[in-house]
Amino acid sequence: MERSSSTSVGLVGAGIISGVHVPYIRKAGADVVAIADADLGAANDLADRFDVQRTYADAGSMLAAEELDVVHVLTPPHTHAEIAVNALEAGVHVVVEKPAALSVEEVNRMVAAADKAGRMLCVDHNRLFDPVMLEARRLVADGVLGDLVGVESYQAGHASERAWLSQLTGGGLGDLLPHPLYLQLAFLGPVDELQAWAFDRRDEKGPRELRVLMKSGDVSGMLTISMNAHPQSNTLRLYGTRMTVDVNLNNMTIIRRVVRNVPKLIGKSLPNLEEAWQLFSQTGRSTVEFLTGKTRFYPGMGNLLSRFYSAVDEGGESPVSVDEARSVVDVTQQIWAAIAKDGDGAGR
Amino acid sequence: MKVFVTGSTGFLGARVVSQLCGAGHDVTALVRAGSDSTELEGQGATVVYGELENVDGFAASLEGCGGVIHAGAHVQTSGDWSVFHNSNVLGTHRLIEASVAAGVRRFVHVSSLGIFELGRGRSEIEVDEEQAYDRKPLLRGHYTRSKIHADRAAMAALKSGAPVVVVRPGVLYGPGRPLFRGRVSKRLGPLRLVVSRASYPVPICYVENAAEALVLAATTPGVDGQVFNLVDDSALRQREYFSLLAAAESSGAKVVYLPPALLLPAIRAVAFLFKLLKRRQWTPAYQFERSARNASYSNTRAREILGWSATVATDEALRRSADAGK
Repeated sequence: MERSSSTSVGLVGAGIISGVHVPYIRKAGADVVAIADADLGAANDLADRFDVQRTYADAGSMLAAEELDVVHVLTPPHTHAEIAVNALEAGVHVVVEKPAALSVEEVNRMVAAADKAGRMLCVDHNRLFDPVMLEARRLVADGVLGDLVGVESYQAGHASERAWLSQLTGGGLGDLLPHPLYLQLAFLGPVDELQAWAFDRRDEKGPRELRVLMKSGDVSGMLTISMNAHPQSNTLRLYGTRMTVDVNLNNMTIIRRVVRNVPKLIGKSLPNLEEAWQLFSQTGRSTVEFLTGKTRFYPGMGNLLSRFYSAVDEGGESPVSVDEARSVVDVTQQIWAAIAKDGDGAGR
Repeated sequence: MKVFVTGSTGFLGARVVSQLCGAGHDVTALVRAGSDSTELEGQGATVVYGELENVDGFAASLEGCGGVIHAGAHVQTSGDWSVFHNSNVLGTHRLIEASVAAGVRRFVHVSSLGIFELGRGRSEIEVDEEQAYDRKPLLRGHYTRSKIHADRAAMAALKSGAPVVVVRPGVLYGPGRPLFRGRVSKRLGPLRLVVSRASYPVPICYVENAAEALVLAATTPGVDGQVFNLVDDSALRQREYFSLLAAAESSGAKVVYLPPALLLPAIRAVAFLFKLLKRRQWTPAYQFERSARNASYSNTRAREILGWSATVATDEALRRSADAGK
């Protein structure tokens, strides 16, 4: 997609995720013209890798010197609010990495700045736009699944060592939390009640296990994060009155289970065969798509940014609403508050 | 005016100090500990010891300076990237920060014409001050890559409103340095083989002329935020240059031009094999392709805005350089 006058983008933060953003920004038809990072060497390294022409040692200088349309805030979470507000006040749209900020107050300040400037604030809830998640959301929205009764997400993994993790409630676990949480909330809606347990603090850097139970009207949500369990896994299960859907976000498969009115003997084997066939065919397809380069890592980010940049061009809505950004931060705060209230473990 | 000069014992910086002192300016010269500073002091310069890797160590000396001429850099053909980064990139960035904090009214950054993207085509390319940086800096040597980053740092400050002027001289020559004999060239008995075409430009700059441009950049009012590419003579071509060089050296080597297009297929074949076997780029191939480009550089801005011109003409400059080498 080529545009006559290209949208100019600046990045704040030259970490690992920045190298993922650049190709997707370009694929969306926009141009990355500058990178700012307090670590000037990191900014220059990224600029050299991706042929970005200009670098700055701070976001303020970049905003002052460049005529930008969009800024991607890719710095550690505790720095998001200030950078995003400054960028919005300078009149640029903002894409911010997850979580949008550390507190609802910070998000509110960002939203107020966006409203005042008439610019978009879009948090990178990228996994919502993974092809398997788009399909899952379609099944729910179109009523194929029936009425939704429950959502379960399970994530087993470890957080990369990062200096700024100490700034985050829950440390590494806090870094993992936003993804499964925004996936849950996309289906749950406003949370009425919440219980949370965090445990296993043997490494002193924070808990390694987290369980959260949530209730939203008649729908329940259960969220599990384990930094001990293996292998690494990232799944979401949706229970509906007509269908159960298993989304595997790591392996990019989506398995539908429906009621079959067949004789009992076949009823024991048919679902397994159906499941096996779905796994087999989807694995084959995604393998081909990876090999041919049609799919890359973080495909959701590509879809999200392509929608975002269409909205920049055509004046549409941000693919992730500020309410979604705020509710993830809000529920995160509720979870840690519930855990803290209970002292050494469970909280409600 | 009080002027602070980095790289003051270097090829270019030493001339800058001489010219400034000669014109009655009050010069503070940054010198690395252990360097010989007697000549600087003999000219009346105040010597400050320090390193670009540690700007804080000498930042106090910037107080009260009207101008800074940053001609210093770590210039080596080998060594760790971190040394180039700390000295040339972070050194430039922090020196500008410290200068602005100290209230310096003009910061002159000495860059280079080697930082630019030259494309791939065979047609003549006219490089002006807005030309993009080399799009493959990782295929350049550490020094050039660090000069690209340093130029970015200076441009970042310039665009944010700091009183910065960037001067980008071409290949510097003069007494004390070997003369320019083509980017890729080889003496073969009575012949000198030069990979280029007789009609291609020669982007060189005599060191005294470059120093004059830097002094003008530091002292001329109203040029904040300007960028100047610098070559002695935009119209100088290889054929003319080598005949001037022969006259200056009274040497009879006959110059034979090897059209780059003739060698490129072989170079690319080697690069292809190298990539196949070693799984990385063969950087000499890229540098060869660059050196074979028909790029011309204009000095119009320097002449019109700075009022600069090459005081020493090329024939005279070559004679002085050749005589010094004897």
